Amino acid sequence: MSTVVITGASRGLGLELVRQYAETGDRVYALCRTPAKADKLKRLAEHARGNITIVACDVVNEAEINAAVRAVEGPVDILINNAGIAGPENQTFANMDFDGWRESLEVMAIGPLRVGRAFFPALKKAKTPKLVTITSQLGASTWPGPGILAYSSAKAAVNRVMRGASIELKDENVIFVLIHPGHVRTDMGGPSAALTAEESASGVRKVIAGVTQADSGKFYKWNGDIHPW
Amino acid sequence: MATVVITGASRGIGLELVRQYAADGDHVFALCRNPKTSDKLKAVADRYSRHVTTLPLEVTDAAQVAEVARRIGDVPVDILINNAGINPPFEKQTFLDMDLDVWRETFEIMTIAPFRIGQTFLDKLLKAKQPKLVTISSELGSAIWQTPVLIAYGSAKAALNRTWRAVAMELKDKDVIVLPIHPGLVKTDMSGAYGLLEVEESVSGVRNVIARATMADSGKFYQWDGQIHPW
Repeated sequence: MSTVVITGASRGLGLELVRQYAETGDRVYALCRTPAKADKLKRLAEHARGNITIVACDVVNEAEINAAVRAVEGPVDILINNAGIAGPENQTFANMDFDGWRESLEVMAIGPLRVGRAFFPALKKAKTPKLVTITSQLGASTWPGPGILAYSSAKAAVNRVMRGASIELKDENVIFVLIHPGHVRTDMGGPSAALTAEESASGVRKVIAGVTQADSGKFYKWNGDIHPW
Repeated sequence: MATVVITGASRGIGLELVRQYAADGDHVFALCRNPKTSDKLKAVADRYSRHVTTLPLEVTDAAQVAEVARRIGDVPVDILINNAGINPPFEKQTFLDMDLDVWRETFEIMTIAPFRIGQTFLDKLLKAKQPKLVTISSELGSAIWQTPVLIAYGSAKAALNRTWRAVAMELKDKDVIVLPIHPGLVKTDMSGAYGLLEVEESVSGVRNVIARATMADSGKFYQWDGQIHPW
């Protein structure tokens, strides 16, 4: 039985990850901004065997992150930085919403570091701790299109952060992984996305289960393949 | 004779870019926060007085960016070089001890500011025959950098690289050549004890990459010696 902490747990991929981990009997801490409004998550917790705890946590809020750390009991085996936003409507060179860009960086580049380092002591206490960040193929240089600059640059930044962290902290037992979850059919991914949240989360969990220290710092896809930077 | 706009012109790579372009007879707009107190820049501007115009610019200040563009006027700009940069102390940029305000400032200066400056100068670039929108990047933004990385600096450069790659695609129809360039690990104030390359050699190489670049090179990640750098 593992202790799993998941941010952005109220919907989409995060919610599905909560569901799947809870179903296998793991202890899940589901972090989201507004638990009161997270109806699906609340229902999930109600029907679980008491192994889902919902914790209020906005990843841009230091006080809430610290409170979340205190709310989690014991060592953390898996931390999943999943919270993400699509970013501003205008994110091109022709038209950029700079505050929206800053928010994207705050949530998806800075947030994962803040949450990661806050939970680091708890992670270190686990036997094979894994610090997972849900990233995106859009953060990679191989993405063939323009646009979505705020989102893509934030994902490129977080890739660099976690890869750097894996090198900085290679003597610790924490395994850093970045996972592209696929293009998932969620509010964020949209109705035309190829992958269901269930398929994606299933793949993501499998990747997480399979990584060892030698894999720290790598950039995976939900299906286990390595993604180019 | 080209018109070249360079930010972060008061020292290091920026100063040397000003010097070399001016010595070559190009007209340089040398932008830095305090041109009046930048002795080295003043010396270069005096020496090449017919070729260098210094103007104040704090790159993170949107109003100042608009103002400097207005002061430069409605002229063609052949080369814009986003060079202004910052590298906070190592101990403030680790995963465990990151100074978040410092990190945000790093994103402002090296990811967001070059973008805004590029947008603001696009009109002037489009008036030039073969415009080049250059941003001085770094191999530290690349995933292959193996030693403990400077996370604020590295992530800002990674975001920069990713951004300009996309911008290159967006500007393809306008024939603007977009170039993120790694200048080498240059011996400047910023690199401290870690510099390997003399600034003259780095800048000479960077200028060469810029001069030789065509639309086919837009969006690629070159380094000062003309080689492609992995992302």
